[in-house]
Amino acid sequence: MVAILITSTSLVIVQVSSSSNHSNSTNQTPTLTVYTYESLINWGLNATDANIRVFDAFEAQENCEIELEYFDDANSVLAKAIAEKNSPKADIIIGIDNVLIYEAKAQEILVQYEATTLPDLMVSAVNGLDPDHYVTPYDYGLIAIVYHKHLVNSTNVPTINNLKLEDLLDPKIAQMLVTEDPTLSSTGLGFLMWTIGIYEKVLDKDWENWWREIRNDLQIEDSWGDAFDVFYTPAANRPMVVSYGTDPAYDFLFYGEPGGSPSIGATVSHENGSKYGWLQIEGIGILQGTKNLSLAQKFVDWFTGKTVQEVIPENNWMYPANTLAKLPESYNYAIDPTTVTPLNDLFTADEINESLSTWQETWEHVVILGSSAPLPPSIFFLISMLIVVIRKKR
Amino acid sequence: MVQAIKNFTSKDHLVDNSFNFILLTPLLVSFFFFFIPLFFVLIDAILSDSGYITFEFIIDALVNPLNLHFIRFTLNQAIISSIITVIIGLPGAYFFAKYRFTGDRVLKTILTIPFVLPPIVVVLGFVLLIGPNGILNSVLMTSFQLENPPIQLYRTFEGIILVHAFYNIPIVLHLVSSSWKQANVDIEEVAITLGSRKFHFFRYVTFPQISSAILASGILTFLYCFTSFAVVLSLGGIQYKTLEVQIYSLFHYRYDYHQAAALALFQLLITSILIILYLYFSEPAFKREKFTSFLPTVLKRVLQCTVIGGTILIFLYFRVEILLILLLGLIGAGFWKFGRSTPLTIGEIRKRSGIKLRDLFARDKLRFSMVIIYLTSLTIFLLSPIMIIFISAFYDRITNSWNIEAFFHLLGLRSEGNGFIWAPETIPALGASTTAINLIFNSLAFALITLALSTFFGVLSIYMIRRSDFLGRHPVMALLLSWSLVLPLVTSSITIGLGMLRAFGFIRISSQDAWMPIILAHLIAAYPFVSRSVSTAYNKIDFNIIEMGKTLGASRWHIFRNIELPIISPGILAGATFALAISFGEFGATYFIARSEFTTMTIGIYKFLSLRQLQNSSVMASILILVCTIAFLLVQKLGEDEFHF
Repeated sequence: MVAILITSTSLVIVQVSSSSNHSNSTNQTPTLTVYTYESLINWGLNATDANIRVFDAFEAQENCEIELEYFDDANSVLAKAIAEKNSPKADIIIGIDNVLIYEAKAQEILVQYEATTLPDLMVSAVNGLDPDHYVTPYDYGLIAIVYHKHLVNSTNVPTINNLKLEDLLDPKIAQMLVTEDPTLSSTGLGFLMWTIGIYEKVLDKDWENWWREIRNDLQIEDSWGDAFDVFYTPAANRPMVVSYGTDPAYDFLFYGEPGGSPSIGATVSHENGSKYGWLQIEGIGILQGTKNLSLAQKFVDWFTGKTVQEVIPENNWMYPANTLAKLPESYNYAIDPTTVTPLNDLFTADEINESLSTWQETWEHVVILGSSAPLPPSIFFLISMLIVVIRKKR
Repeated sequence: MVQAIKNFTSKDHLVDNSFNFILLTPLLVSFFFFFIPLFFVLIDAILSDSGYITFEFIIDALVNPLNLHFIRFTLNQAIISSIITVIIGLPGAYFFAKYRFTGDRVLKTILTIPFVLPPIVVVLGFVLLIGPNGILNSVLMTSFQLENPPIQLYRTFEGIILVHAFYNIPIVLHLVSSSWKQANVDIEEVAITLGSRKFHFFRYVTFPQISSAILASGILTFLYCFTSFAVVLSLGGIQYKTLEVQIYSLFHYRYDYHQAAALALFQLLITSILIILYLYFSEPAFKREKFTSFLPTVLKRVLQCTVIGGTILIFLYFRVEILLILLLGLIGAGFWKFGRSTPLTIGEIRKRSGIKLRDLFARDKLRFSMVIIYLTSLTIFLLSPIMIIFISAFYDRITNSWNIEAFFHLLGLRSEGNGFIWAPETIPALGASTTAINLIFNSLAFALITLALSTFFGVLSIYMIRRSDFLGRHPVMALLLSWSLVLPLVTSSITIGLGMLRAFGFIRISSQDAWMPIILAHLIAAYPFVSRSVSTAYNKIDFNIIEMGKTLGASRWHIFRNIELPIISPGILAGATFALAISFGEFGATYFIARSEFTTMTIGIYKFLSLRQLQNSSVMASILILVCTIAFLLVQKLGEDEFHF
């Protein structure tokens, strides 16, 4: 009896608390459900304003509702969309990058769409992400090694302005660097692709050896956020992090003085006299089973259009895919991707699709299995003490 | 009492057919919302994409050196964690069983709280305490002029063991101390009077009586550590991953459903064996059953050899440290030799006996100081990670100042003019129109519904196992049913969440109704606790009284209301408290299902943490801990301080 009473009252509470959230929604306006990662357009000086300019403006223009569902990272977004493959609940997915695209295509969760903005988008971004137009690029950026200028300079890292991947193998330099697990983080995966590209394609050497030499000195975190925390913790002594080429621009906007320069630097690698880097290209796609196809298409056009694209640079910290979008002043300090040879072009799409999981697995074998034993000696000591004690008791 | 256990196996005609039908509901709920989703996930382990059955995935998964490495780590850390947990917890169990002091029950209840805290909160506490920027490290670094933090929490084996011990010590405290309390005191006194040496009497009298409880708590700890997820995920780094974490990353980042399902199947096998062992040692009723009585002696011997040999082979195959195997063998042999006299009988909990701590002070100063030192350090160990959360709720790390504003701000209280106005602000990270008050409301509502439903289901399920005869009477059947009740406790909610989506994804649930699957997930996670707790209380019922009542013409309801309910109600109460705490702390499934309207406090803590808002997440976590503490103290006040896990 009491149970029933509690249940019914609690149900009322739930209903009330949920209905209060929905008081302003009506059934007439169509709703567009968007799956994305939670940092999307949330890194600017005024995140709320940026979101209004991107989403609320579209709602007002098309008289619709946008329901945003945030996930931890792009991987989680895709995992959820795949899990719901047979009964899709979302219309739009934002954040499929040039690595996730293969799984997304293999799972057949996307609808092809040629955005009306296509002529304005950077050709290499479109081709580098998906020439079949299942996903339309909205931004791109270089993976880079980012460092604190006051801790890393030409005295302790002589080649910092002309860095080769091989220079990082020096234990003193390797012990300064923190990176991300390429099986869990897209930034980390970009870095893995960077090393594979340089060693396999440019230098024609074995990339595994690079990781084998560096694995014990490198610190590897689960996510970009964790790695960045370490980078900003002085006690951790890791003043170099694998991140993005736009980070100096971010630093300048937030902490820089007018006329000054950012306190952090970024570099790609310089091999055989030219600069190489891995480009991450992020895209937006329409999910199979959407009930609002034309509205979803309009949203893709909107998201890759000039208005939104000019919000991207200082709020998502990537270069806008639309060439019409003007770049802000802070981007003078970012690494301009056009000056760098993208390693992406050295791989064919089929090659990445086929070998990606093999590369990740090989990386795990090299880095995890090769490192120190899981049981520290103190535990052995403790156990042998225990055995002695138990023996004595008998 | 013996009569009661005899009655356990005798046919009970009190149950009529309509009652049987109701009894089936918990089973049906488990079946539809746990086993079917589980099936939908695990089927990938043996079904290839083109639809034929193959064992290739399982074999591939179990010869992959990387998986071997992780399985090896999982087994190693689980063995070491459980041994260390039992060693730390045993003296406490003894002290709580034998000594009395003011507030002993309250202390024991408070020391239970770590067990029900959500892993995120625990990790938060440890990071604040001994993380790289934690209080302890800062103090040590400034006082000894060190350059690097001396205590390493992240990516160390010891860090993981420490958190696991923190989590599971309450299990040892409760299980062992309650059985130590019931160990036959009269024999003790006689033996000592007859001049028996203390160690002799412990070895021949006490140890056989408590050995089952020690083993049960050890196995349960092993189970929880073996399936540990959030703790290892956040502390382990790339080197240390449990099987559970590896399954998660295969599902989530690699989309390798076959390998993930194969590993999940392997994990299910190991946990199932351990659950059955746990039930065998924790439930006296099962211990009395002769499960293999229908087999000839030769076959029994063969079975024994296969089990022991198989276990050794598994350990060797996964290259578990040879010293650990030796140690386990030694412990096993010890229990085999010394722990095998009369198994424990469940008597009514004895009247609170034991020596007053004050008397001990007068008699034996050394022992007194040992008790005090041990209890103080245990309390510090179990409470400091919790206390640190409360402290940092009032501390702003950015401005390095103490304030109470964050607390008020999150609750929506703002001072304006002379008084306070109540205007909660929305938290953008959690959703467009979600305030902290919403989170607290949601959590409370989910917890109350879960509490009500799980109590109902928990009681029913015990009737199902103990009383009905429609599923057959064989003890193996009862064991299987109990297994199906414990299994949800050690199965990852992420797997179940994924299974739910696959099995029932075709049902379109509007976002306003998303609370239904959340409640189901909480129910599946919570009601096994009620069942276990009620089941123990149910063992105390004298069935003769029920028979008598029936003969005298009392209705089934009347018997339940007047005889059974008063006896099992403390058990229900304790179980319900666990249900409340579990629902409050549930993370995985809620996170997988929840839309922003139904975000709970646990998810709020997580989001604040990922935004590095330590103060806000501490405020949220403090509220959560407070609610759990109040619930537990309330239960203890109402008369039950024996929790069953």
